[in-house]
Amino acid sequence: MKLSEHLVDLMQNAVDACAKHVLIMISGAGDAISLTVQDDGEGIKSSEVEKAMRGEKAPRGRGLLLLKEEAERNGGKFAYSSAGKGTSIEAEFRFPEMGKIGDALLVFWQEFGIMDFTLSMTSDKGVFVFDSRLISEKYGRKDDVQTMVKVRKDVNYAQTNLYGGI
Amino acid sequence: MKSIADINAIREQMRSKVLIRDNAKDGETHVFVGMGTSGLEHGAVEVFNAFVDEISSRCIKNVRISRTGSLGKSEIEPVAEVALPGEAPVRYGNLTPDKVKEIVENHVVGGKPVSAYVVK
Repeated sequence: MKLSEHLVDLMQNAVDACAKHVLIMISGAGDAISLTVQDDGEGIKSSEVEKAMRGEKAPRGRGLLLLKEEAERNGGKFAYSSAGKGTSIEAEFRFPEMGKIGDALLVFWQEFGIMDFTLSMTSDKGVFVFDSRLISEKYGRKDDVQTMVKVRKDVNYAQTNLYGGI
Repeated sequence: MKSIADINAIREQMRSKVLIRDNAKDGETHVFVGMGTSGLEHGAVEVFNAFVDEISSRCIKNVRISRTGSLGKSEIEPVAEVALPGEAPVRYGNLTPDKVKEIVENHVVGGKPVSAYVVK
């Protein structure tokens, strides 16, 4: 799976955990990309995560196992914490296939307002910060497909500027 | 006793039904794309964005595109449902962006489901 697809999976976990806000941080340094996703939801039971990490069938957490495997396959790192309230995932990749972050975030369009996100993308070329709570203010109408396309375009454009071709 | 997975599946199904019922009131077509982990592994994000592209480029109004949890077995992922206002949802499987173009043209615009891609 691409990094953008892992992001969708992590955000779906946040929806399932009734999170109201997700902080997404992507940063690139040299040949490594790190992804951090923190939500303020109810967290996933550690027993569920441990089962999934052992490859056993679990209601949730298979996506975390895939992310851990992907990060480790690429010589990176993976860390997970969920202490009752909120969940934090950190993964570091080397030469990952990033996919398009704007395409991934668009998937949660109907959830914005119920579960919002703040995205921070950094590299040695600059910083890009985006907050879904400001979509109406910045783009006008929220609830139409044309606005979805504009937001996706802006996020993907920033990603290309920061990390090169995607 | 039902497992958490069963309860989550029921919750997603009920969510779809509630949204479809609401659509019938406001005359919107609703597209749901299944985004379970299995769907993601098989390209569900591309399929979701293909619906956005087709509906945007054709300037079609009154269509709402949403993600939902897993909609079927992994063998038929990616899966999406298309519900015209007041009609039962039609479930499509093994989707690709090219198939999405056909579905938007024939079903969303033309009102006729593309039977070749319909799954149970």
